[in-house]
Amino acid sequence: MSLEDSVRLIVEELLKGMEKEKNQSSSGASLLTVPSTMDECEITDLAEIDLQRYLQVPNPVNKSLYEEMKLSTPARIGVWRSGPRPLTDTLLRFRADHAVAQDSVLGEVPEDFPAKYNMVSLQTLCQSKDEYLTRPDLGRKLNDENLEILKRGCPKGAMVQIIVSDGLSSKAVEANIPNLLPALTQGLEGMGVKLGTTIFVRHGRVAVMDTIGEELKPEVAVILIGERPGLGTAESMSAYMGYNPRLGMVESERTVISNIHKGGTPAAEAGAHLASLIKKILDVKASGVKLE
Amino acid sequence: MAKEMTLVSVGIDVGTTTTQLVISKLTLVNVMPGSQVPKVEISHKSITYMGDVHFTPFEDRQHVDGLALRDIVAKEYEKAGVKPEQIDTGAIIITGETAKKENASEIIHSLADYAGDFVVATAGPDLESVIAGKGSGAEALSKRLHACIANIDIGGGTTNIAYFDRGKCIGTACINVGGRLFEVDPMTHRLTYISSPAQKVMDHYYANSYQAQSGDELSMIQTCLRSMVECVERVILHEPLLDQDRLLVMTNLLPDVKIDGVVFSGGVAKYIYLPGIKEWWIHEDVGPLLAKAFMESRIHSSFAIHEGSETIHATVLGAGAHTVNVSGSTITVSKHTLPLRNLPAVYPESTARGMLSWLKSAENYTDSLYHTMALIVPRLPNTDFLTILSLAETLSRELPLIMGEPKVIVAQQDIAKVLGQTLQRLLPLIPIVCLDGIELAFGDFLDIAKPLPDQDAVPVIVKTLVFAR
Repeated sequence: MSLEDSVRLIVEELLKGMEKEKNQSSSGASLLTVPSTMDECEITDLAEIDLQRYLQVPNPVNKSLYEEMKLSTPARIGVWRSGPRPLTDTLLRFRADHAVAQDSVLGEVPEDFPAKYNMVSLQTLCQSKDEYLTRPDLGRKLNDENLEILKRGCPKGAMVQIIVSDGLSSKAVEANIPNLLPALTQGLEGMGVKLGTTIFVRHGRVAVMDTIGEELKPEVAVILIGERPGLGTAESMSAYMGYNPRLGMVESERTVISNIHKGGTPAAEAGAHLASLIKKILDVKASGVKLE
Repeated sequence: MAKEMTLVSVGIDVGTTTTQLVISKLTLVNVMPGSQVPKVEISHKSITYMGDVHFTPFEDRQHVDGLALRDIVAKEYEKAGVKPEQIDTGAIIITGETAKKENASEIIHSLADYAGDFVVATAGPDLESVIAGKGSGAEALSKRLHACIANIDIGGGTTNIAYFDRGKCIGTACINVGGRLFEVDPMTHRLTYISSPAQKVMDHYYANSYQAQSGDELSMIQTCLRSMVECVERVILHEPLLDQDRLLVMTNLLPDVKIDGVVFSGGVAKYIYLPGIKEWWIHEDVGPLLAKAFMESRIHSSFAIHEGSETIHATVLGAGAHTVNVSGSTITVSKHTLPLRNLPAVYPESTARGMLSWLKSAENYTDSLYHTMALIVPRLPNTDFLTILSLAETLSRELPLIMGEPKVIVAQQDIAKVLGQTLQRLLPLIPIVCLDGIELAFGDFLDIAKPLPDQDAVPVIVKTLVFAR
C-alpha cells in the first residue's frame, strides 16, 4: 500500500467516524431540544417581573412590613439567598437588567422615527456608536452637509427650538417622546409661544444645542435627551434648556429637568411642566443659575 | 429652588370642658434635588405659642357663649403677638358635647371668619378622632414602630378612638364617655350636674333610687364609669355590645384588626400616665375617677401602653399642625380662583362604554350651599398623552353642565398639569383648578388655600373622613 493509499484510507475512516458522531449528536440534540422548547413556553420573562412586588423570602415573619420595605425602594433588597450567594433568578435578573441598559446605550432610534413626528433629522460628526462613546467632542458638532439640512429645514429665530436626541439611551426617546412632545407643544402653544421645526439629532450630546443655537438663533432651545441608563430604568430622559443658546455658552446657563420616565415624572406631565418652565425662561430672559 | 417657606397655622379646639389655642409654624421645602421636578413637603412643624387652657364659655347648658369665646381667641392672639391677618392656615374644631349645642355651627363659623383668612371650621367625631391621634403622636408612633396603634382620646364629653396602621388612619369611633359627664361640688362631694348620656347609664343601674346619700353617690358614679369604660373595652375588643352600650356609642367605624398598642390622650389621659392622685374632685368632675377606671380596664391590661407626645393638647395640636397637606407641584391653577372652601369630593361613575362620567354624582351637590365641587379623577391604567386627552375631552363636555366655578379637578396621579393645560385649550374661557398629590376618599370635603410663594403647590385641608365599613 502506497503512502497515498494509506492516507486516503485514514481520511475516509475519519470522515466516516465524524459522520457517525454527527448523526449521534444531532439525534442526541434533538432529544434534548424537544422538551426544552416545550419548557421554554412556560418560562416567564424574568425582566417582566415587578421586583418591588416580588417577595423572594419564603415564609417571612412579617409579610406586610416586608412588602412595605420592598415598595419603598427600587433597590434590590430582600432578595433571599442560596447559601452565601444570591438565588439564580436574582443573579439572572441583575444580568438581564444590565443587558437592557447596554442595549439601550448601543441601540439606535429607528430610521423612520423622526419622520413620524415631522422632525428634521441630523447626525453629528460621530459615524458610529463606538465613536460616539469614545469622542464626546464629536457628538456636539455637525458637518457642513448636516448644517445645510438644518438651514433648509428649520426657520431661524423661533421663540423655542425643540431638539430631540438619543444621547445615551435610544429607548428613552422611543418611550417618552410620543407622550412628552404633544404635551410640551400643547402647553407652549397654549401660552402663545411660537415653535420652530423640531429637530432630531442622532449620536448627540447636550451641547449640540449650542451648535444648533448658533445657526438658528432661537430665544430658547430645549434638548430632550436620553440619560445614561441604570439598573433601575433604561428609559430615563432629561430636558436641558438654554436661553440664547450659542457656541461658548457655559454649563451653568442650562436649566435641567431629569428623571423623566414611568417611575419618575411621567412623560406627559413632564411635558406640561417643561412648557411652563420654558415660559418662565422666556419671561425672565435667563436660564440655569441665572434663573434661580 | 431650595428656598424654605413658612406658614403660620392656628389650631383652636372648642371642647366639652376646655377651649385651647396653639399657633405653630409649618416649614415647607422642596425635597427634590434641583435637577428634578419639585415636590414640596412640610419638613418641620414647631409650636410657636401654646395658649392657656380655658374653660369653654357657655351661656347656659344648651348655648355656647360666642362673644366670650371670641374674647378668649382675641386675648390669646394678643398674647402670642399675632394678628388674624398673619395667620395663613389652620383649623377650628368644635368637639365632644359642645358640638351638640344648638348654636355650635353658627358660633364656630363666625369664629373662623374672625380667626384668619384661611382658617377652617370643622366638626364631626370621626375627624376629631383622627386629629387627636395625629396630635398625640400616635400616628407617628405607628409609623415608627410599623405597628397598628389605637389612640384613645378621653375628653370631657367623648372618648375618641382612632386606629393608625403604619402611619395611616384605618378607622375611628366616638363614644359618649368623658370626664365631665358628671359634675361634683368639691366641698360637699354632691353631684351638681349629670349630662344626658350619663343620666341614661345611671338610670340603667339605679332605676329607682333618686335619693342617695353622698357616700353612695361615689359608688354610684364609679359603677357608671366602670360600665362606660367596659363599653369602650367592648368596642376596642370587638365584642358584642350590650343594651346600655348603644346609648353611648355615637359612631363606630373601627375595623376588626389586631392592635399592637395603645396611646391615651385628652385631659383625662394625664391621670392615666401620672396616677396616685388623692384629691378626686380637683376639677369638680369625674376625670381622675374615669382615668382610674381605664387603668383597671382590660384595655390597660391587654395592650402595650405607649406614652404619646401630648395628652390634653393633642386635639388642638392636631388641628393646628396636622390638618394641612401640600398638593403636587405640577398643577394648573387659573388666576384669582383661590382660596376655595368646603368643596365636596365627587367621584365619577363608569359608563357602559368604559368612560368616566361625573354628571350623575354631581347632581347630589346642586345645593346652593356648595360654591363649587371637586371632581375626582381616579387612577388611570396609564398616563399616556392620548389617555389624558380622551379624559380631558370627556371632562370638557361635562364641566359646562356641572354647576359652580372655578371647575376643580383633583387627580389621584401625577397628571394635573398636563390635564389642566389640555382642559385650558379645550375650554379657554372657563377658570380651572387642577390638582394632584392629594388623596381623597368618598365623602371628603376639602379647602384649598392660595398657592405658595415661588411654588406652584397649594396647601389643602381634607376634612370629614369616612371609612369604608
